Amino acid sequence: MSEAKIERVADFYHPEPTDFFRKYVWSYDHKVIAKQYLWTSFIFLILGGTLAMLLRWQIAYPNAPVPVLGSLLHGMFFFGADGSITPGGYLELATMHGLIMVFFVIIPLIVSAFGNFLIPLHIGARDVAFPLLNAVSYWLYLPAGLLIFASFFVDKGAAAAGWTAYPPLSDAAGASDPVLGMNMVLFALFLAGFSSILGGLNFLVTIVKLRAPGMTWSRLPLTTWAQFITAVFQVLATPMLAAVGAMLLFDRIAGTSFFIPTGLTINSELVANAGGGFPLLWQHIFWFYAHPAVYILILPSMGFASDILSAFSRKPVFGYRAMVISLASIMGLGFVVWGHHMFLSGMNPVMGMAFMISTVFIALPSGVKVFNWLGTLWGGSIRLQPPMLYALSFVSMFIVGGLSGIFMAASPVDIYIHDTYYIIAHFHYVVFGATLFSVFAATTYWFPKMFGREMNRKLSYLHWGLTFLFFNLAFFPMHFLGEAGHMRRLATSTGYEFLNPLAPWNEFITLSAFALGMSQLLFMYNFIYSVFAGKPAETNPWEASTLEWTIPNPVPVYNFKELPVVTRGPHEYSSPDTLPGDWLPQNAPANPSASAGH
Amino acid sequence: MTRRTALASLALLLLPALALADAVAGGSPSIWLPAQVSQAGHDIDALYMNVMVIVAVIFVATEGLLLYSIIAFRAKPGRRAQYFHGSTGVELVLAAVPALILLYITVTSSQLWDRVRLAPPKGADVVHIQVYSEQFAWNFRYPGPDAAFGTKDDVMVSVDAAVPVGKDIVFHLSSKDVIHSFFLPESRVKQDLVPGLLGKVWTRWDLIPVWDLATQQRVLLTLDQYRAAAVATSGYTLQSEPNPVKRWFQASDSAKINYLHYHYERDNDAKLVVEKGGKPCKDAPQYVLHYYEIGCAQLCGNLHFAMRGTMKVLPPEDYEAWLKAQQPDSSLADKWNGIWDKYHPEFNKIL
Repeated sequence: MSEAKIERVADFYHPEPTDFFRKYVWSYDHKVIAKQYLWTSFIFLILGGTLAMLLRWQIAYPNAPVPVLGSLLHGMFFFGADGSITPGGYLELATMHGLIMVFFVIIPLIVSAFGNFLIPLHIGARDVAFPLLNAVSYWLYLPAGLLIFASFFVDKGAAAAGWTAYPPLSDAAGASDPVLGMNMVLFALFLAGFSSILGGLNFLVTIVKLRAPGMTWSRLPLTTWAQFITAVFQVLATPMLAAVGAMLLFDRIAGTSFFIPTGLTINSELVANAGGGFPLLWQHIFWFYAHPAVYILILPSMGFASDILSAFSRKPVFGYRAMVISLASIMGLGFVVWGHHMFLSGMNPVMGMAFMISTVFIALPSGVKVFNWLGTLWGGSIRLQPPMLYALSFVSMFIVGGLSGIFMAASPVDIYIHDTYYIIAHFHYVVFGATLFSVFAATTYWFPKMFGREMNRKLSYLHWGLTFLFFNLAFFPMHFLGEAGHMRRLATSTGYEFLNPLAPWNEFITLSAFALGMSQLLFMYNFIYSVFAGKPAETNPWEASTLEWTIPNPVPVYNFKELPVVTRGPHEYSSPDTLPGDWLPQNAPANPSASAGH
Repeated sequence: MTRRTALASLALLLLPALALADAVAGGSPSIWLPAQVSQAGHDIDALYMNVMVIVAVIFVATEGLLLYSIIAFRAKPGRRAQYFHGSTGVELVLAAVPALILLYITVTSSQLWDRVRLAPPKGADVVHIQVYSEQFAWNFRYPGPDAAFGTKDDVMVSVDAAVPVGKDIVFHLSSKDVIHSFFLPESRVKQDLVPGLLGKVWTRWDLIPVWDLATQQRVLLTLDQYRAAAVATSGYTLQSEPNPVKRWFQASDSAKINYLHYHYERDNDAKLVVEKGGKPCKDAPQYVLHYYEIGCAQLCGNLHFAMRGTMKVLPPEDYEAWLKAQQPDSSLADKWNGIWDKYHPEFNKIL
């Protein structure tokens, strides 16, 4: 059991678990916790995706009964008596799709699942700094997810005020139907928020304190740098979500009026706790958290992309230092741009001017990163295997999503496109096109190390092709809808004359979205089958140089038999001292000819 | 991968391909900005186009480089990747050039933002209208001849509003219950209405929207053209009917409303009123008075999708007549006097 050498505190590792419960349920092992997050998030991805398919059905075929599900579940959840989606049900779908995807899919996937698995391995440590806290983080997240799921089943259904939950709609009694559902969502966000804060703290301390000898800050893989910066975001911003969620909950159940101004009247009744509140207070505090949250949704993906692009181009990342500075700049600027969600909110226009300036300039570090990814490819020897295809799509979709953001940063243009499908197109390009594709890249890339098996390559290629195609077919036309003025969150657009010519596009988008959804079955099948019965993988199928590829599959509980001593950077592919091959592991001895890779 | 999987994937492609073909064949779906009709709209569109040109150039350059690299630098046996860590010079240029472009966008945007948000029109000739949104309707209040809000001669209407052509209009915005958003798409006007807060947006319409009965399309007339033409101001209703061509994959009757065709039809027994220059005339109408639609652009509850209003633009004399013709409504008066005036009398200041 004690095959590893224990020389100092950092060498300590928790003993190997012997029973099923300690192995798979209440585990301190970061690799197991990572997989717990991975599986749970994938299940929520299926749920969130299904909600989106129902949304798209209603948009394309307003008030038509939903096939199969509509007849099975008519009169329940968001279905009316005839199996079509009710207006209130539509808002539930839109709200829960957003909440689930942001808090229960993307953040847990890219931060908690892959961050947990990779950080200790990348820095040459045996586990994170606080393994017990790590387990607690997961076991806060899962109940939060179950609470969200349960909110569909309560009277009046799940929250329906948008994932942004603006008061007074989300606050005042009688404004929005779901009462218990909304309260459950707020409790769930507390739990998930604490999970996130503790996780971020854990990662910060781990990266600062547990790096192996020789693993200087400038030899960290960019995945780790991205996780580090993301952890700073998490720790600083998430408490604001807890605070503002608490204020909303108190308004709802304790009679306070943080957000309810004097004289607020729903239908003809003065709201009981009306007095002195200010709706924009929610927006300021919420977006102070939620804007950094969207950078939490992208920064780890940028890290994955950098490492994968480098490994499959067989050359170093172009401008490593600039990449790190860009990550830090995005973090710094990310805290002072929140008002761009509020250009039209009634906020003082002078503040709008200030936020416009910071928002336009946050495009700069992201642009630098895109150029550096292109520079990484330039002159490379590019191997177009599935992780690389996904990573290339990440770059390509991130370019589209990032450029569309410039339109809304220019606040006079935002006057027109705010709260239209233009915004929906923008964030789906960055969250799905960029981040989710990077999740596919990370999954196919690190699958051999996580599960000791390979995913089927042909299925991966097919999944990539179909997803790339249908994703663009589904979401690019949304830019057109936004340009034409199509508002968001409309249960049906048939009431407006100016929107009617756009109906064919809505139908086209829906059908593309259905095809997109069905294409994901390929990934699901590939993933699940390969976990249990995939071909056993070699230790380093990608010939990559970072530390996780130096240890056997599956990774033993203690990670490294001897803690590695790092001698080189993480992306030193094709450097002259790697000849005759083109790579060496990061802990290669100083005399390279003894163990050059092939 | 089996042939079956490949065929299944191909079948998936058919769905959207057919839908696209259908959409294009069934009448060109509008994918561009609707024609702007107001003063600020022109400037906003110009800024949009500026940004679009810049973005298009960057898009083509970066995606082009990406595609080129994938092809030109793909792995070939015997070829080794070039080993370099970057170039400070290239980095600086690639940071400086976008920075200058972003600076340009910031400066032009700031100037326009100043005009549309920080400098409301002032003077006696400006028309002030209060907008009070609620779940789920638009309420409007005009100050009346005494040019003061909250007095006995205020005119209150709901859903359908009117403004005079060629005058600066300032909308004073607030909400009775939740946050709504006052959106006039062709006019590029949008602003949230927040309870407890007074917002202001302003615009000016120099053209009058009417519906051409011959082409069944909306056209915009100058005041002189309007006065010279025969316009029906009542007796016609806007009808819609599904496009007669059946789509084979439409699931139900409700889906047919996806392809509506609008046209004005003469009401059977309504009194037809045709005016020319504000005076009744016997000529057959060329046009019917039309409007701009008002939409709600902020989620406000279950009937958010049904919160439509209309904004007519009228010649000054017709506007005055319209104001005088509005009947007092006690439920509207309750809302305005009982809530807006009672809790926020400071909102009635016309500055």
